[in-house]
Amino acid sequence: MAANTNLSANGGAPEITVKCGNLNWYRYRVFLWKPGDEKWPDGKSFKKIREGIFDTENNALDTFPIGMDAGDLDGYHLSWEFYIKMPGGGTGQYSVVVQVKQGDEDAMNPPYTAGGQVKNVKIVADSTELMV
Amino acid sequence: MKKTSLSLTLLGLLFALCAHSAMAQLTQAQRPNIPSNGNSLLAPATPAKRIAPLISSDTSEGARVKITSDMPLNDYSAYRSNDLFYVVIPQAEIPQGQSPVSGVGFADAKMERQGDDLILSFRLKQGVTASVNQKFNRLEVIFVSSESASAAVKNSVEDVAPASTEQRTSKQKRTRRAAANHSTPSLQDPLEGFQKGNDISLADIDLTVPESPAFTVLGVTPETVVRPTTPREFASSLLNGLDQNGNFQTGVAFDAVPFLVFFGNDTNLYDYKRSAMTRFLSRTQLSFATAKGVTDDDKSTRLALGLRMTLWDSGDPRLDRALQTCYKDETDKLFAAGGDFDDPIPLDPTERDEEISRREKIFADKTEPCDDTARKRNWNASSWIVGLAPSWISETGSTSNFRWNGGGFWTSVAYGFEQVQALKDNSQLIFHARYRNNEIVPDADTEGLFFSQDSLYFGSRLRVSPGKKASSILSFEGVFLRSRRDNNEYDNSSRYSLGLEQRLANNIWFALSLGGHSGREDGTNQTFVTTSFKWGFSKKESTTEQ
Repeated sequence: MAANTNLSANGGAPEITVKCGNLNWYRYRVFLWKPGDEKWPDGKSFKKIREGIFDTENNALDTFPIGMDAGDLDGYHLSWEFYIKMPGGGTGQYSVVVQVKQGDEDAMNPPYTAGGQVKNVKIVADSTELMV
Repeated sequence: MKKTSLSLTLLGLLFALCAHSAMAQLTQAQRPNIPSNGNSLLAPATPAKRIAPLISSDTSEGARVKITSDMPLNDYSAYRSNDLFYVVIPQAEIPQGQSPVSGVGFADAKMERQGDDLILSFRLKQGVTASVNQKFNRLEVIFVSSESASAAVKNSVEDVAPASTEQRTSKQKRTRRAAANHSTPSLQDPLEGFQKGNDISLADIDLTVPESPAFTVLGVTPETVVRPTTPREFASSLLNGLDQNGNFQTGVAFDAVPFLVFFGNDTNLYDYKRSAMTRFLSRTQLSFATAKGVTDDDKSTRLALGLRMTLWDSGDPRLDRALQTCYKDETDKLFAAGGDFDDPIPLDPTERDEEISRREKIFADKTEPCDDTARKRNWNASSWIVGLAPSWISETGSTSNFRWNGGGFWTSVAYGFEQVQALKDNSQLIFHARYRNNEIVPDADTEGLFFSQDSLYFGSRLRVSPGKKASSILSFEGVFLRSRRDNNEYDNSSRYSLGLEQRLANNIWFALSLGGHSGREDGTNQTFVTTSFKWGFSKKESTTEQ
């Protein structure tokens, strides 16, 4: 599991930055999970807050807000998943970085990084607990 | 900008190394490669060997020159440079009272002293090879004409001193019994079948640039190839190729794209599309290999460096927008409500790992048709690829005395008629050129023997299948080969053909081919016409002379 994310209730709105490297096609999703047995209005414990693709038309860097005030996020979880494809198949390398920042500070310290070999396809996923 | 500058600097150093070695080859051919006496400052001075006057005698195969000394001659070395054969005897004096040396197969025999070493040189006549046998304080330089080469090898094997006391360095020595584990290049030799002139399959003519030119030029197919993916692995791979004395170890095989190893994490497809330099560096592959001598008793180490550069590739899957759209469409289905990936991957680590494993299989299955379609779409895409691989050899295996040992150059240009609507999906034109220098080739007529070959090869292939249904295929192929064996005269030969394949019905094709040869050694430069019917779908065409 990635490092816990320590937020300040009086700090700015937390932001997530997703960055990928190497010459792969990436599709990613980021979810926000309710604490304990709580549910979102649709009855699910999770909510998708971001989805994107990194390819020749979309630069491999995305920064977006969590969408809630920091003070309300205690006990929530943030999860992310990356679907990685080597164009045409074959073997190569991948690299993924997820940062959670509040202002200029890394709230999730250290940032999540993953890298290694991809043989045709690779899926990487992890999560962090948000603590205020 | 910084990363591309550093990569260019690394590539520039590599090219400088190659250019320096090429220049060294030119100068080395003009003077002997004198092995240095590295211990002269530390070791006690040893008296110079006294050499008796050389004695030359003719034999049934050619000639023999005897060199006798008052001390053991097991530190000699010998090598060939073009038509000159050198024998180097360290710490030796010029024989006193020497009369001119002559014999069948050589001329211009000379002796000179360079530093403390005695250099003997013999100018070989055409078709003559030379080798050296050593026994205690005697050397025999044996000159053999090409007609009796195989018989001479058999006789000289019987005369050999114990291998541990002998240095075998000349090319002739490579014609001894081959090591059982010697592997020949995986690339099809255009000479094979061509000079034999029969049953060459048009589709088997190899017009590609090898993936790892260093392996090809050494004639090895490594079982284990190190492919470093990080800078640390890259450095470790290089260090692991050296022994504790700083000498290259044999059996090293290394293949990498240096730009991606060092800067891959800072690169992505978005930048790749927009930067020609990023594309060039990402497509430049570096290979490196070392190999032992060709035969079991050859102590030399051979080394080759290879570069494979894709100057352009209109079929690059990394730039294929249709392919990326296909990936998106397939994952849209998976992520859609009710799809296999509708829900997020679980938070629990154990469940997460199991779910990831399940999804990877599905992800691979669903995107495979995208890759297959892209391959069919891009099979004839235009491209230009260049490969080059210089090589070096050290007769003793020491890093300090590597010398130039030839190499290879390849280039292939393919055109896929992208601007011609009727041809862009089903036609291709390829031009290929290849130059190999000092290539060690197995002798097709005598098992276990090898010879040195220089060759220049041009090939071209045009396949045109107008229209959507591809019911007719027109083809033209031509190859030109210029080669020589063991520095003899060059031979030229060529082959060309025109072909037509017409589909008569589903899975029934009629094939007509006409062409001819020229420049064949045996003088049988025939034209040919062949016809055939083929049942079932076959992508291969073949011609057989009638």
